[in-house]
Amino acid sequence: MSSSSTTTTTTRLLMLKASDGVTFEVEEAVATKLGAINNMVEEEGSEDLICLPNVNGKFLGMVLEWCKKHANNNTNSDKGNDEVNKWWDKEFVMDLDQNTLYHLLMAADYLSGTELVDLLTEKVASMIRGKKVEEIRETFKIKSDFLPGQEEEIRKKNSWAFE
Amino acid sequence: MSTTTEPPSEVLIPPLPNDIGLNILARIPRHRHPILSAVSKPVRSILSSPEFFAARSLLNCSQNIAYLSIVSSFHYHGYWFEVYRIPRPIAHADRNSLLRFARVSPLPVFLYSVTAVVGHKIYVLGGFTDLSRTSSAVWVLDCRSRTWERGPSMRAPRSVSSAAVVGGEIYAIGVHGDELWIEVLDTVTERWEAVTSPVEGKYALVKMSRIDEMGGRIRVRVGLKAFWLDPTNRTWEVAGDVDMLDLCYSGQCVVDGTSFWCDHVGRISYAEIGNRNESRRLLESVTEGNKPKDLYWPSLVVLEGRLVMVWGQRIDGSASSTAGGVKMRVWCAEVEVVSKNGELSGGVLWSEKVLLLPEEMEEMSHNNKFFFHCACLSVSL
Repeated sequence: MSSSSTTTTTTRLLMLKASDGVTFEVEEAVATKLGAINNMVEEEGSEDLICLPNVNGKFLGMVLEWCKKHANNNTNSDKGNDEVNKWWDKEFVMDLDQNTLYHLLMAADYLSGTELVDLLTEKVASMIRGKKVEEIRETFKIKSDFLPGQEEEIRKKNSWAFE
Repeated sequence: MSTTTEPPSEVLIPPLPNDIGLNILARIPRHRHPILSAVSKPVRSILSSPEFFAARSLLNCSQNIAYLSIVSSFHYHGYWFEVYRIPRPIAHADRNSLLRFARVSPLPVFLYSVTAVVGHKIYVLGGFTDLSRTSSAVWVLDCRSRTWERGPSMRAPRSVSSAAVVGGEIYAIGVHGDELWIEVLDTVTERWEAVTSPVEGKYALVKMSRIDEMGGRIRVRVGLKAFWLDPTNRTWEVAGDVDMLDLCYSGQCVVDGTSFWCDHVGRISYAEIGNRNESRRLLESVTEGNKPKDLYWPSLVVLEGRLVMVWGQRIDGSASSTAGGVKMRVWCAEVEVVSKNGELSGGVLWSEKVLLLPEEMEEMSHNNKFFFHCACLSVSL
């Protein structure tokens, strides 16, 4: 762990460029919530433009929106902030369609936004819980690759779980 | 490494990369895993893989899973189950709508065998293969895959009275003739080694012995004597005398600092742990009106922090039964404990038959040694 970025109190701005050329100007404290950007800043300094060829503007924007909320809520260390963050996270993932959720998840993963990845994978997991086998396959476009009879065998062996 | 594209059959949740797929699946509670295992082959194979359990642990998603073992004098096998407590709608609160039993394959029975948990494995040590012969066998249940394998046999076929685990080593204590023996299994090297007994020669109360792990040390109680064993250099130190009750109540269950124990007719008594001056008190109300009927060899277990009484019911074969043998039904009752002015009282939330064990033998019932025992272990998965 390094102990940088506590030297100045003025907010530094970073320029992030997405794969489709869209650029975002964000405070360093916000962008460094993403592990990948934090590493780049520490290695190269924060003067340059940071190019992110694997994320497009739409999803980078959403990731940064999440970072901004969490960075703001974390500045005044109050016990209530945890609750605020939780409530805001819930709102953030509530109406995401599956396609957006997936792209956002891959963007967050690429940018090493561990907390955001946790939030989004938990959201996908909640879409699996409580579903039947067929519903899981349908929702997640998973093809059954079992040989005839194999699936029946699994169901029979664990009949208690398939009630 | 020859192809650039991954074969589609290996993908857990398309189009997500597998490390993300793993991160998602690791969050699903274990009682849903059988359903996941029927979704596709890649999902099925990841569910028992080491990286899956590593991910669960990393994400703080590991669960303490309860394993119930049931042995009876009517069976050649020891029956094992993973037990889940799954809350159901309020409408069914008075019924056993809660417990789900996942069968683990039965084990060639060892009455009076002793169990120990190391990591994700349950070790079943020794015991009797029938009512006269002791065994040196060790069976190991890999809880991740729910499969049994043979473990390293003990140094000799002897009856084991208890076992304790420290630093991946299993200490087993037992009696051979009138002499105490102790041996230790290193679960990594899979080797048993003898440990010098703290009592020399014959000792009248040797049958009342047990071994426990306490704060990284091993405590051995033999009759009314107690000893500490330092696991690092295997030296003994006298720990003083123990009171008789300590030994009598060895099958106790602990919930929130209180130990509970049930007798052969299902009366539950309790005592605060560490309070040696306090005698055991009966848990009122469970002992009276609403006590479950027809109790045979009730055992008390803790399932997800709740007291559950488990007992067997013998069902004699009817004319329609093929062999006219004896069937064994397993009942459970969930006991709710309420604290009021320092006194605890209990109530039976529900009691219901939960399992019917397969019909296996009738010969053993001739000598009238009816026996039913159940024990519960907890494994983090």
